[in-house]
Amino acid sequence: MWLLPFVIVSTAVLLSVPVGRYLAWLMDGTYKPPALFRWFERRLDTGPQSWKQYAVSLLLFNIVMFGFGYLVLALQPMLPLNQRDAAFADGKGMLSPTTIFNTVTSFLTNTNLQHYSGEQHLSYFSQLVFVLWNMFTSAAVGFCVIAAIIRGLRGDAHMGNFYLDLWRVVVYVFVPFSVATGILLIAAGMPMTLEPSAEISTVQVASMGANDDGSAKPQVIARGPVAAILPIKHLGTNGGGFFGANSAHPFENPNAWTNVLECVSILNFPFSLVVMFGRMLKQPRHAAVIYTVMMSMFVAMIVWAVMNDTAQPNPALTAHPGYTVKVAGQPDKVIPALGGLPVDQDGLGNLEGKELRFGPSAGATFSAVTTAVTCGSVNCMHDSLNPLAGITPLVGMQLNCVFGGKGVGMVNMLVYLITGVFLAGLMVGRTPEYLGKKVEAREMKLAMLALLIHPFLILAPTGLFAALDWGKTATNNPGAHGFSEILYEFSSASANNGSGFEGLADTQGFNDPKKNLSIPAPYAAHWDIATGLVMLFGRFVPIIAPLALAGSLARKKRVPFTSGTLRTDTVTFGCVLLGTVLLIGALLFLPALALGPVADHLGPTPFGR
Amino acid sequence: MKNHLRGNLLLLVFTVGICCVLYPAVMLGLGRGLFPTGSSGGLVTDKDGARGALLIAQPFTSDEYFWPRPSAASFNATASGGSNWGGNNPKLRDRVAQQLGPMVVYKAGRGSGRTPQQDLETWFAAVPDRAATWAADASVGPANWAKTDLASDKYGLQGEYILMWAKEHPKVTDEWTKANPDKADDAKPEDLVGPFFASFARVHPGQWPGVVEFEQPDKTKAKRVEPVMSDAAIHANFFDLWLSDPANAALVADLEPVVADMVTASGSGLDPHITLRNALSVYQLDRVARKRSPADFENVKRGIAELVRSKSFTPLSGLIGEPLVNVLELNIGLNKLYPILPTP
Repeated sequence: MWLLPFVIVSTAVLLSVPVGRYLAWLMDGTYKPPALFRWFERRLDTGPQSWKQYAVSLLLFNIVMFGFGYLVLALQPMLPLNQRDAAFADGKGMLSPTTIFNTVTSFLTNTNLQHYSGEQHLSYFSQLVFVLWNMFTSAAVGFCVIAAIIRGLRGDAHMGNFYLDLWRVVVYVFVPFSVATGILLIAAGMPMTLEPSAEISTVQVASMGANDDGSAKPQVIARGPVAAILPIKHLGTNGGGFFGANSAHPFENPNAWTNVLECVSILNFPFSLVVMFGRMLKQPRHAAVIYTVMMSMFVAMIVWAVMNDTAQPNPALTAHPGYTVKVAGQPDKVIPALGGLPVDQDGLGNLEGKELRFGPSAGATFSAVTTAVTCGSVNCMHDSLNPLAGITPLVGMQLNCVFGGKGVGMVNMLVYLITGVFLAGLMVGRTPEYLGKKVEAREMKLAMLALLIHPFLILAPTGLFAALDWGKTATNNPGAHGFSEILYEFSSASANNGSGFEGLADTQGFNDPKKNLSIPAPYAAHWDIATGLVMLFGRFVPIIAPLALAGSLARKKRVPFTSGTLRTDTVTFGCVLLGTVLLIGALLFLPALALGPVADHLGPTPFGR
Repeated sequence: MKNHLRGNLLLLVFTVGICCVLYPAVMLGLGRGLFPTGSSGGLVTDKDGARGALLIAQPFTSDEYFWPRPSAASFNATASGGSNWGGNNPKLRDRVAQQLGPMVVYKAGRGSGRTPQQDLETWFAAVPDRAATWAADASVGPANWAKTDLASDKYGLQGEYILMWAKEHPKVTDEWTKANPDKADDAKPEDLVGPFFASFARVHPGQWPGVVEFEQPDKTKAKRVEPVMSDAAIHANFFDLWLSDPANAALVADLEPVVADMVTASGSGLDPHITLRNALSVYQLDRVARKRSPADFENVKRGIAELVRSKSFTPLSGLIGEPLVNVLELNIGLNKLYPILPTP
């Protein structure tokens, strides 16, 4: 049960040191590429940028991403590589405009929240050009931000050049890592083809049912260029699945080894970035403290999920005591006790929504991995996790700094760090300092903005939707679990994670209702727009504010290091940091968690019979 | 500004060229060249063409075959997905109980000497209005019963039977109309299922509206609903109540447990494996062996068990979890070893 998470985490830790060094060497500012690439770089390099110019370039490029993405998706029926198969005889149509808006924002913000189903709604062209391109570039954006912030923190004269940084991350980091991972995945049986869906005649005749003329229906098996998308889906902590079932689908995750590989790919860069942070700042001990703090929270998340999901049976199948419902003015209603169903769950844990081939504890582990670093890929259905186990993914997204997304998580941790330094400063009565720079009112305002936008974007819309039919009619499960679904959706959107308690009805489908295989959800457009906006604010506010913060720190004079200076490379500081994160996190999110997963756990189970 | 424009445009062109053209082309070439079968989906073919993909679960429902895990996606490999039901969802418990009821057996040498299904029927008949209580209390099963075979707007036999019954017994509809005075539409079968069963139990105490096949005057077979004493639907719908009745505790303790993967739906709905424990259990191996060779049951059972073990593997090269079997691979091997008997 514990071997699998141990293998995954230790491999990722071992890899993070060399990869972190490589990244630091690349982003340090003195890197010279081989001659072939220098030609491209000369054309992209628009010169050194201040934090404002850097932020403007970043925003401009994201506008380009939005325009390009919207165009590709809107023109889907007209573009090439629109595969035709039994389910869609004349190819895929255009998605509904709100779904396109949601999908485009979702992919450019590195969220990959999917209000559509990959194999049903996207052509191979959209997968290869829209999805794949966004996966490479949106992941690189976060990467560039942390690099720029580090340059600011160490007092560089300028923050680098955004276009050059993005090019380097995509071409020198993501592409080679993707090719290597992709080959391993194809070798394990992942499809990489442009052929349309396969049609097979089932071994047991007509087990898929019969057509009107009595002939046996074939099983239609969707496939496609899966192995091109999967590597960067994880390396870039994107998480948008080629298929609806994401990494639970056998074609997206053929066996236990690919599952380990995918987990390690998810963790690789978020781990490495902490190492890069230490090397670029020349503060390896400080980075080690941050790494340890993040790691302790991460291990706790995994242990919690495995203990409550793999080591516990699914409560739907076990015995439950009877109880009496008392409503004032009505006769008491006695609900009799339920016996345990004769189902042997020993050693398997809760198997609803899980795949067998990854081994037990793989689903729980993956749920911690994917939400700690805001990947959003899933290898089991989080909606069916045991109630308490569902706290792990929720907390991962709500803290959003347990390694966190590519770059962005590290930025979030910096915000907590500044807050921690500030709190510690207040306690000893000195002006707080970080890396030899005074932290003053302006910095704290920026840090608070970046910190508080996240809970606001989660809790306000969750409350709104839970109070209205928008949320109430969309839930797939009764009672507190339904509330968890709404809470999860907005946590996922604001943390730019992209996973979901996927029972939530938020799919509109094609613009032409006749093309839809399933009935559109009644409030799909509301969900599309609300989560789209949450993703945008949840992405750009926590990027721009820390950039400004770093820019402001960069301009300050360095104060001398004295015996009174708060040291940031000690165990004590680690405890301060951990305490800050947990305290703020608990204050912000415990009430919502109590209404969701905790209430769900306390029952009654099943909720209404 | 001109600088920014140039930077953005060039970046767009360069990255699209590399990420969306060059990189996938390399992957396509590598896939085609090095792993031609796997990269196109790992299809299994025989003389009749493609028979399945080893990684994708295929439905098997008849007794001659090993069964895969239940699929929330109905084995539709163009619409993968799980049930997304949480542990608190009565639908989940209902689905599992419905599957278990007609299938469970007592442990070898234990139980009452009869089948659990016979015991359940006796229990069902002992109280005349069990069906009425069930229809009034349960939230999932009765409505599902009324909606069985509902396709677009047309109800199946059971839904039609409720409507017919309601016409003959106007009291059934009256209750609903009184409770919903402002609804303009007529009551649907699932709305009437509670009063229907109450009325049915009064007319046919201890019986159940079962779907029965009968011979029409022109010698063709058709189905209709009749009051019956024994029916698989009784086993499915009342299993949970029978099991939870303290009076049956001794019998329930003697039930042979089902391995969890047999009754839980996977995340993708396409999980191609089952556990070895499941395959070798009395619920799979015995059923398959009995069907493949009723005459030589013990020997064939041993032969099939050997086949199952030879096809089993443990994930992560044997490091984690318990042994699994690929159902499609197993069933294809089974067809070769013990071909299906021609139907007499």
